[in-house]
Parts: sequence; C-alpha cells; structure tokens
Amino acid sequence: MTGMEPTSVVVLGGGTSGWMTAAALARLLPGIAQVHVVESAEIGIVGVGEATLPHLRAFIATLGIDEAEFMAATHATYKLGIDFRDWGRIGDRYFHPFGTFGNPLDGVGFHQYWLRRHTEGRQDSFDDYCMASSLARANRFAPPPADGEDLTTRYGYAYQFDATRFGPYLRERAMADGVARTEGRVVEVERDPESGDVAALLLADGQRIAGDLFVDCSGFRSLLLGDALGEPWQDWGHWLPCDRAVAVPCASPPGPVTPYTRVAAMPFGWRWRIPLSHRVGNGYVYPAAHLSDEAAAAALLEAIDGEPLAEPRVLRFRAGRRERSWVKNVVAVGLASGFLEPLESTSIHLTQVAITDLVELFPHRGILGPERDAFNRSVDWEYDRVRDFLILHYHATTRSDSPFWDQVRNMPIPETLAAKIALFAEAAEVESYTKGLFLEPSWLAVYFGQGFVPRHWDQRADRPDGATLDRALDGARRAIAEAVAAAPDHAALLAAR
Amino acid sequence: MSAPLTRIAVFGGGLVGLSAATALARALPQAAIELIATPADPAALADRLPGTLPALAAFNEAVGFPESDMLRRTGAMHRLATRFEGWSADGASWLFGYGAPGEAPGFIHHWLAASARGDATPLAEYHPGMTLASVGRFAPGADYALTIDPAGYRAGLAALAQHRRVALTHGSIAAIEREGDGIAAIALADGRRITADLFVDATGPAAALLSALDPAFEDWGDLLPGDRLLIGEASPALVLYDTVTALDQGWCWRVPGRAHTTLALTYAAATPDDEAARLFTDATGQQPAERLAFRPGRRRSWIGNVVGFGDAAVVVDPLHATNLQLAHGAILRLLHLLPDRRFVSPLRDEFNRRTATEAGRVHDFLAMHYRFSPFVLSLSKHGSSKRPSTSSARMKIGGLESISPFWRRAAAASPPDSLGETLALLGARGRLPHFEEETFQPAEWQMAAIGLGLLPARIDALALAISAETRRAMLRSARERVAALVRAASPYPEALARLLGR
Repeated sequence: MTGMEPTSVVVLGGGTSGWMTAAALARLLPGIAQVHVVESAEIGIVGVGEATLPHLRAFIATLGIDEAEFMAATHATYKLGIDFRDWGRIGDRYFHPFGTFGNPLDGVGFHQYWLRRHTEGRQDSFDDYCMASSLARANRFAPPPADGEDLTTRYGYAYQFDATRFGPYLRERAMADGVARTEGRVVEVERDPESGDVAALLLADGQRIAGDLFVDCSGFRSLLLGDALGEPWQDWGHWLPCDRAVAVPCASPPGPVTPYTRVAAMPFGWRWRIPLSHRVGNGYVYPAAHLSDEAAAAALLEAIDGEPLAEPRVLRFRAGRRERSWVKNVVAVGLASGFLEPLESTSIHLTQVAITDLVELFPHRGILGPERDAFNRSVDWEYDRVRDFLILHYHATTRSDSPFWDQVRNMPIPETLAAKIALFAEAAEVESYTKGLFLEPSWLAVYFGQGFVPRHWDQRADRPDGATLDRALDGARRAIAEAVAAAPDHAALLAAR
Repeated sequence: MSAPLTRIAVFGGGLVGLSAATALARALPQAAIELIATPADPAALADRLPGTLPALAAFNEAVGFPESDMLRRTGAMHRLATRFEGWSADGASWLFGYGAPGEAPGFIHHWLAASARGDATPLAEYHPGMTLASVGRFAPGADYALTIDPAGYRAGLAALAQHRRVALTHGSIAAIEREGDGIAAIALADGRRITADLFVDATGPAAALLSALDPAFEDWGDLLPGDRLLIGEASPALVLYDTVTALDQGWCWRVPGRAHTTLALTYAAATPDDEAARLFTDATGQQPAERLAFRPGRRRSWIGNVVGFGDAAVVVDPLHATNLQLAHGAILRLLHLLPDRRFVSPLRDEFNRRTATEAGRVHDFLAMHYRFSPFVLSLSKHGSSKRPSTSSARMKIGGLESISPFWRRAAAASPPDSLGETLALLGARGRLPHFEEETFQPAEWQMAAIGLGLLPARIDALALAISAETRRAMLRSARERVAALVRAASPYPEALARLLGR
C-alpha cells in the first residue's frame, strides 16, 4: 500500500513495445502505475521473425516468466550470436558471439596476443577462441552456468522467436496484473492548452482515454511524439541508407537448427535468416534508391532454403531517431522513438532499455525535468553507440561489387566512430565505455571478422616467447573443443523440451 | 614495423614517479628506465598524503606489490570510512564508507522509503564498513582503503623499481630541449643530458615538463575553494576511520596512522596565516609543522612524448583522499594505451579523454561537498540559491556576513553541466546519471549526498511499489548480515596483529 493515487499511464499501441511496456510497469510498479493500453486491430504489427540479445533474459526473469513456457509460446530457439557472411569480402565468414574471446594474460587482453601470433604466421581463426562461436559452428547448445568464469562457460545466449506471438503472450500476463485494454483507433489527441501536455486520446467510437503519462508505442507513425508534439526527426539515412526490408517465412529445411542468426551481405544490403522452432524467418534489407521491391523479393526467394510459407511482405523504414524521446508527458518507446536496422538484433533491446529507464525514473507525482533529462540522455547514449557499431559493418569492407557498396564503403562516418577506428587501427584497443551496447568482444569480432588488421598490438604482448604463447593458445582451443564436444545438439535439445 | 619504446625517463622521485617507473618496468621489461629524482616539492599532494582509496589494491596487484607487504613492510593500516563532522545541514556527523550498503539492487532507495516513513535506523547500520569502523572492529568482507605511511610505501616501491632494473638517480632540471610537440632531451644541473623516447612528468604541481610544452591550466578554484594546507602530527592511533571537520574558514582532517596521526587544515589564502595557525591549534590541539600552497585544477596530461601523473596532471584538495588514486588510475591507463616511438594521436586522444573525464568526475564529487556544506546552504537560504554571493545586501540583513570567503566562493560559482545534471537527478530522485570513468560508484555518491542532506525530493517508484512488509524483511536481512560480520570481527589492534603475523 502506498497511500497515494496511482499514476495513470496510457500506452498507445499494442505491439511488442506496447505490451512490453505495459507488462513491465504493471509487474514492477503495482499500485504506482495504473496502465491502460489502447490498441487497434486495424494496425498491423511490424514484428517479423526476430532475433534478440541476451539482455532480454533479464527482462523475462524480472517479469517472473518461466523460460520454457515462454519459449514454447513464441516458438523460440536459442541464439548464441550472429553468423556474418560475405561482409569484409565475398566469401568471408565470421561470428559475432554473445561471449568473450580467450583469457587475458598478465593484465593484457587475449586479442593482443592472438594478433601478435597471427601476424607472426600462426594459422587459426579468432573465432576458435570463443566458446559461443565454437558451439554455434557445431550447432550445439548448452545453457551456461550463471556465474561462468571459465573460458568454456563465459558466454550468454538469447532467443530467436516469433515476435508476433511475444506481444499477445505479454498481453495475457499484463492483463492478469491489472492492465486495462481498449480496442480503438485514435482520431484526436487532446492537449492541455496551458502546459501543452497530452490530456487524453479521443477514439473513433467516441471514447475519451485520459491519463497522466502517455507512452507512445504507435510504431513508425509516432502518433504522439512525432505527430501531436512535433518532435523533430534526426535522420541518419546518410550513414545507414537501407530503408526497406522484404520479409518471407519459409519451412524449416531438414538438417540442423542453427543456434544463431545468419546475416549475409548481398549486392544491395543484407539478408537475415532466423530459425524458429517451427519455421525460418527470412528478409532482405536494402535501400530503395538502389533496388526495387520486386527485385529484392526475387533475390530473397532465390536465396531461402525452404518452401515459402507466405507472400513476401515489404516494410518501409528510415534510420534515425526523434531528437528527444520524452517530451512533456509523452514518452516514446520502440519505433515511435527511433529506428536502426536489425543488423545486430537491437530493436527489442532498445525498447527494453527505454522501459528499464522509464521504470527507474518513473514520474509518479507529476513530471520533473531531471527525470526527463536523464531519460533522454540515456536514449541518446544507447542509440549513438549502436549506430556507430552498425556503420562499422558497412565501412570496414573491401566490397566493390555494386554502387551500394561503393557508396557505403566511401561515405563519411561519424567522428565518434572515426576516433574508435583510429584507436583500433593503431593499437588494437577498443574505446572504453561501460554503458551501452557492444563492448569490447563485439567490436573485436567485427574488426577482425571483417579483415581490419591493426598496425600494432599492445607492446606488453611481446613479453612471452612465441612457444609459450602457442602452448597457451593451443590449450585454450583444446579446452573449448572438448567442452563443445560435450554439449548437446541444439535441435535435439529443443525437441526434448 | 613497430618501434617499441626503448628508453623512458621518469622525472620525480616521489610516490607518483616511483609508481610510474615500477609499472612501466613491469610492462616493458626490455626498456631502459631511468628515474631522476628531482628535488621533492612539498606541495605535491599525491606524493605525501596518507589517505588512499580501495582501488590502491588493484594498482599494487598490477605492479606486483603484495598487500601483505603494504601492512608488514611499509607501515600501512586499514581505513573503513570517513567521518564527516559539522558537514550537514542539521549539524549531525555522518560516516562515508566504500561499496554499497545492503544487498538488494537499489537498496538505498528502499532505505530512503523507510526513513520517509519514520524508520530512524541510520544507513550506516546496513553498511559493513561503516558499522565496523564505528565499533572499532575489523574483518575481511568489508570494503576498505589503506592509510599509508608515504615514506614507507615510497621505500617499498623504490626497492621494487630497483629489482626491476630501474636506474634511480638524482638531478635537477636545467633546461628542456624541445622537438616537435614534445621533448628531445633534458639537461640536468650536473651536466648530464637525458634523452628518452618517453618522458614522464611526476615533478609535482610545477609540472616542469608538461608546463614547458603547454602552460594552459584549467583552474578549479571556483568550486574547490581550498588552496592552502597546514600540516601537523599527533600520536598514532589504530582508529578505522579518518575525520573531516568543517570549520568556518575551511576544514580539518585527522588521519590516524600507525606511526603518527596526520593532521591537516585546508583553507583559502584569504585567511591570514597566523589566523589559520590558530584555527589549526583550536581544532587539533597541536601546532602545525608545515604550511603549503596548492592550486586545484588540471592540465592536459599527455602532450607529444610527455605524460604527466599526480600533481603534475591534476591537483585536488585532500577531501576523500583521491590524490594518489588519480595518479595510479592514469598510470594503469597508460599501460593499456602505451605508445611506440611514433606517438600517434589516437592513443593520446583516448588517454587524455578518459583521464580528463575521470578527473572531472572527482572534481564534481568533491565540489558537491562544498556546495552542500552548512555554510553554503545558509548563504543559499538567504540569497538566491544559484548565486548567493550576488545578494550581499540580503545576506547582511540575515547576519551572514560572518561566513568566510572560503565558503562564499564555493557558493558563488555555477557548476559545470556534469555536476549540474548530477545534482539535479540526485535531488529529484536520488539516482545518478551515467558517466564513464567514475572514481566513486553510484552508491558512494548516494551515501555522500544523503550524509550532506541532499535528499531526493521524491522516493523512487520502485521502492514505493513493494509492500511495507517486504521492505522490512529486506532491511532486517541486511542489518543481520552486518551484525553477523561485526560478531565475527575482532577489535582492530588484534586483527592487525594477526595480519602482521604477530
């Protein structure tokens, strides 16, 4: 009992973001937030087969959700990372794992030693020193122990699931936790003439839904933040020119179920392949300026490895974000706040971060500036880091097989990214930060995976003699190979559940 | 292709210079390292203050200096907390400890919710270090710092440096030969000419090397008002906390140690020296032995082939004992960003960026204490809260002309954005906006803010959302954990004797 009137929260939009927000607020702030979701069946959900990041597990655990039940309800498979094909050069392959590479030695990162021996002629792949990558290559999976500190246990995992089922799954739980739901289409947004705050949503059937706080989960249309409040859009299309995707599900081919998502570079963008337990999600992300929808759909249908289960569907988007995500009493979560192409499966994660921030900064007695400023600062932080990491994929390439690759290979990049690349190019050092996605192992995976070789390594990596290092490297490979051999087959594990 | 550093010259023979030389010698066993002990500058605070932070352990581990040696050979002892006296709005004294109280994430918010409902249990009862400090007992399991004997630690590092084949010599700088944006050679008064690939400036606040390359200095005097120190001694004491007492013209520091207790008065030049000496004696019962001047602020610490550490790079007053840690943090950072002889800019830029961020956040942390001292708050109450010193007429009406310039200066300055954001969010919600390179973790900022009386206007929603019963159970379990630790702990003299193997 709080002895206070709850804050009335209206969530506009019943997609993944809307129900994630509603479920989290209802579960974590009982008696504080009274949540009302307004959703319209007329508006489709963007969700296509989606790949997620390991952080989603914390979200699910916080909501008290049983993993096995959740995985069954969403046709989920396990994900150890992303298999990148043809990025640095056609024919290249690397893995971006949810895990780390090798063990540091005497205070110096493993990659420095690997880089030294690699330069000195040792023939092996950086991926070989990562448990997650090695498990994935073998199509095996075992959940890591919670406190894994060993080279063979230091990895995480996420899910590949049917996002169209995630929203409804969360809706059931949210409504059991007391969330109200109204079906209807918004025809007008009522504003307070004094403050400019949103006062209520007027629906087509004449209902008026009033609230203290409005969470805009209306997707790309950004009905409240973009339309009603007119918050400017910051466009990043000059760095991330892909603005279309065509998606098609197909039947699962015989053979292994990969515990990873595949992201293959294409002549005009890239293609995803996300295996679910009952089918495979596929899509081609491309810039409309370079490729027609028809050509993209044809290329996608050509590339998939199973019987298509639906007509290809085209989605339109643009890279960028609203300058602020929280303005007056409107907080945009998910696509209403911004969009970055799903190359690194960040979409649901950015939604999750915004929800976590909203819960932590929840304005339960009127809205104050500091909370809003802190929220907006955090969103900027997360978006900017993901943006730079995505641009790196297009920048660190030698592909020149199409005008698209010529464009992205040569485009100017953000100064923040240029500084990171310069630091790595000189000394194989990854710029240090602790908040935001994609820490050192991720940057290393992409740099090395896309053939970006630094000019120097850490001088301290020169201390051990080569034979000593090789023994340590061989030992690490052996330990990983043994642990991989002991892990169960991914498909068998899923079938046994 | 690579051109590794083959010759490094470290200028400055204090703790900072020896720390740098020892760390570099471990990182680069092939390099010839010479340490030239320039005449010691008594105002080099990082070289001489006894206070350190828990992170000293990480530095010692990185350079290979075992903690048992710190205790057995250099005369160090443990310190669990700092006691602040007269440094809160209601005049109550409070403890500052390391690490977080409680076990649950966001524990402090639950404590705040309980206090708002009338639970008077102090935060210290949920914090192992603070509780042990107040009862004079010690046990592993609480976060602690060491109080060092700077001379003992210096000797230990010197032995380690020599063991690592660092050449230790003495000399004073006669002339600096510049080349490009760095230094080609340094001529010594004894006629020697020192050349090196990398020069380390650990010469103290004069920054003999860095200031020759770039005289620019970012002055922090507005928000860190102290620029004078009186230092003295009292008899040794095995007390597990140091004490910081706010006085009307500065503050007094008492640091118990095994050889002696260090006493220091931080004040501003506006206070005449004889008056400061009287204040010192009134506050400590002892005579000051030494007087020195310092100027808080920082300079760019890597220029060309010169990297500065300690007071050559950043000067802050002794509040919270950050001086040596700022030097050690930067030294460890350099090891990760070691240049080769080409000294390309990306490494330097990253080093300077992170080092400046780290120093800036320490500045903000200390500045928060001055801004929320009772003296400044009393000024703010009577004037405009932002610039109290501009409304002098109203202050006179309030009888506040007696507030000394030391505190007036801290009240008058406007905080930088990073501090402004921090104070705004702490004041609104008791939360911390995220910054990289923080020396003090969020719970430590929160404990200091609570001690200072900077309480959030609103209780966190997450803390309000749990039932009173759940909250009571959480608080009880945290208290019991601390109580169990206290029971298992021994009186400090016994615990120390055991650790010393006596």
